Amino acid sequence: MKHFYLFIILLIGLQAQGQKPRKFTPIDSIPMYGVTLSNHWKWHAGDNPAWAKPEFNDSLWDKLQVAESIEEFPKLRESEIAWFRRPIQVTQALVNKPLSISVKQMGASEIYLDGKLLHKLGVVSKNDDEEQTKVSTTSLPIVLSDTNKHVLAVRYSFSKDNFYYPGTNSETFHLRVHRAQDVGKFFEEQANRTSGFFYFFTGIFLIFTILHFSFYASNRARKVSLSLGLTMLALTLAFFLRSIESYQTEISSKEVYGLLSVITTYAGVFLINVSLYQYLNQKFGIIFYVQALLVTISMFSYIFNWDMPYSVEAWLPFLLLFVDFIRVSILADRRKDSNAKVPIYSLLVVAGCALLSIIVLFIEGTTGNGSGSIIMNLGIFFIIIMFFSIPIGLSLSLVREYTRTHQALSKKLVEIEKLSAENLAYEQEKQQILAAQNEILEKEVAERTAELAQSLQELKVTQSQLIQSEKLASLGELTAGIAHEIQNPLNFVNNFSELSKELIEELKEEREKEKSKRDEELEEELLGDIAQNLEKINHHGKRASSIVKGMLEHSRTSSGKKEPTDVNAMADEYLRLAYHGIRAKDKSFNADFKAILDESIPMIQLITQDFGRVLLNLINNAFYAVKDMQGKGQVIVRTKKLTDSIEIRVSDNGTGIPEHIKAKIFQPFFTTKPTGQGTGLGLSLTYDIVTKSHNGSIEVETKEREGTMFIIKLPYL
Amino acid sequence: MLNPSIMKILVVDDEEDVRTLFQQRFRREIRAGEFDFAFSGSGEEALKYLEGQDSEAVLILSDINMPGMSGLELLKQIRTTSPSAPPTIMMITAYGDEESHAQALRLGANDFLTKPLDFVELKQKLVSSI
Repeated sequence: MKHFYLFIILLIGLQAQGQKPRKFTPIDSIPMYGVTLSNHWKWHAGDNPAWAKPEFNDSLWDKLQVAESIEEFPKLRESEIAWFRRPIQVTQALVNKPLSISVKQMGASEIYLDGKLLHKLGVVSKNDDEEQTKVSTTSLPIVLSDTNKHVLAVRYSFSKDNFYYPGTNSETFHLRVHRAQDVGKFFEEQANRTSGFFYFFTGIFLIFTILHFSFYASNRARKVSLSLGLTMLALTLAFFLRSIESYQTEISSKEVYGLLSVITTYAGVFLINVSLYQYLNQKFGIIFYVQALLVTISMFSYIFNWDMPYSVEAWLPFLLLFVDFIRVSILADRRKDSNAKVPIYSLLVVAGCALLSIIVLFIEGTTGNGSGSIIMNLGIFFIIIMFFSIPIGLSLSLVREYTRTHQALSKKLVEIEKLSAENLAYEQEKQQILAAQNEILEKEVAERTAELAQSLQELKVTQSQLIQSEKLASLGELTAGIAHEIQNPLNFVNNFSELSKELIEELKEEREKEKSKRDEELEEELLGDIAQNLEKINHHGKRASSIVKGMLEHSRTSSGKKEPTDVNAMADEYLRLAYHGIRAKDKSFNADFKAILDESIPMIQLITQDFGRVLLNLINNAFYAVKDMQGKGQVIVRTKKLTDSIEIRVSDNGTGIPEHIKAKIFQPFFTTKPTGQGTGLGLSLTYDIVTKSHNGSIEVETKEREGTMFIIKLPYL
Repeated sequence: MLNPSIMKILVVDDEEDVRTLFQQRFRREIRAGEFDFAFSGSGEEALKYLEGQDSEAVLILSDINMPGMSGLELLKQIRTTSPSAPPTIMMITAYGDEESHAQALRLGANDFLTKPLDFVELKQKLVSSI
């Protein structure tokens, strides 16, 4: 790479190789691009104005190739100031023709022709402060008036203060002779070519730099964009610094830019490899690091001008880079990496260009037309393409990849659009199906609702029937008790009416007796008894009729009207009715019962029929619980006045309610009685009547085999 | 009291009008001094009455179905506490069921009557037992 690079620089700079005549000859013709006076120079360290004179004998001076780096002349470097001398001679053709010399140099110089100061380039001095170096090429007029040998003497200084790097390519002192009419064109062409070359590549690499950094900015995951961007940036800088270098007039600043350009060139070349690794997903292995080391060594050898055997430092690392480039590409190809082909194409271009440029340059070397020829330019063009085909090939490959990605995405987009259209159609279809199903569902729901309403209606009817049957059931239980209760008053009615009949008979007998024999006292007594009996008959008749009335009330639908009620009387009555009811059905039944009544309780507003049903139900249940206790059972109804309510307790010492069904007893249709014997509505109705109709509360306390107590609390208004 | 053939008949029933009924039904016999009736409203009252009548011969007519101490309970008490001078006891009930009949006889009842009472029959029974 270094060689290629140097080669280009040399070509541009027109360091002509072909013209190295050993013997001094006068200049007979000057081509368009001038003649370099590089040979036949002698030099001597030190400073002596006499050395400018043509008559001075310089035969003892050392020979010098001035068109070399000053690094090659340690003595010159050491002396800081020196003189160069050279003879100059033209043939008749050039006598008195306006000629021009152009100079490129490391330091400062004064140019003498035959002892006469011709030009000053900068200020020559050993003193750092006084010396002013001037490096840029200048065109200086010169005329040789005869064909004699003349002497060119150069007073030259290059003080220690001047910076340069050992590997620099800057020539110590380079002098060319032109025909005056050609010099303008020469400088123009040189400037055009140099700036065109540097800025062309600066521009190209800058564009790629921006491109890759933009890629990286838009997709940080692609590290290859970053490394390629850095590669391009390094190469941009390399060319840009080179172009800046060409404008410098001060030696030190020229050298600094030159050095930076070298470093950035190496960095760029190495970064190409880094980019390739990343581009082809190759791991950074030992080979990579060895190369990094070798390239670094190569760079230092360039900068410090180290010479190694066969100049390995100049070509081996780059050869290895090439080889590795191929290796990595092949590895990628084996992995079926779609990008693997591109670097190989680049390499093919490189190889093709190298071959072509060698052929072209060989032709140029043999024909030797000089730098202006088309063949020469073609050669340069091939070398340029060769040199840049790798980084730009990588870049283009990346661009192509992006294009591919873009195309793939566009294709995907079309597919997605198609899919989403299909999806939409599908969704619409689904929507329609859903709507249809919804309609069916609604219809079914409507049907079911109608059925449910029907069922509910039926249930309500059934419920009211059940409630009615519950009433009838409790009436049935009452009937026997009522019958017995009625039996007693009817017995009295019969007995007292029979007795009264007898008494009247007796009274008649007494009346039929003679007046003297009549026992008036007896008659009075009989009449009193009859009256008393009639009263008794009346009393017991009423008693019976009130029982019948109560029975009728019980079976009648509730009026829902509250009226003041004597709860004590009610409790007593229903306790009896319930007892006799059970006795009537089950003759063997026997149980003790009593009412413990608090006489102080007030009259309470009650729906008498409903509340009577409550008491009857609870008392019946209590008797039912003690039915198997052979007369040891006891049912107690107790009333008690509390502060703002009355309490009615119905308790028994019977079987009790098991814990697991205690919570269910107030639920409708829950019953422990055998099927057909209980409706399961008794306690449910009781609960409703107490809590809803009377704003009271009902609780149950129970213990299995010890008994049960229902506690009703009714607020008095 | 002076007539040794006069026997005290104790009627035990929770119905108050039973007293009036008996007094009228047996008016002639009471007036003739054949029967002497006493009345108790409950089993407990009857026992209290009997305590003061220890040596005297008594015929007891008791209802079975009474609140508190039942007639059968009363029968049992009398039979267990005063075995030395066993009175004649006749049980009366509105329910003519076999079981209480049998139970009454087992407990030592001399007779078993059902309501409504046939007073002619009762009179004969009373007379014959005296």
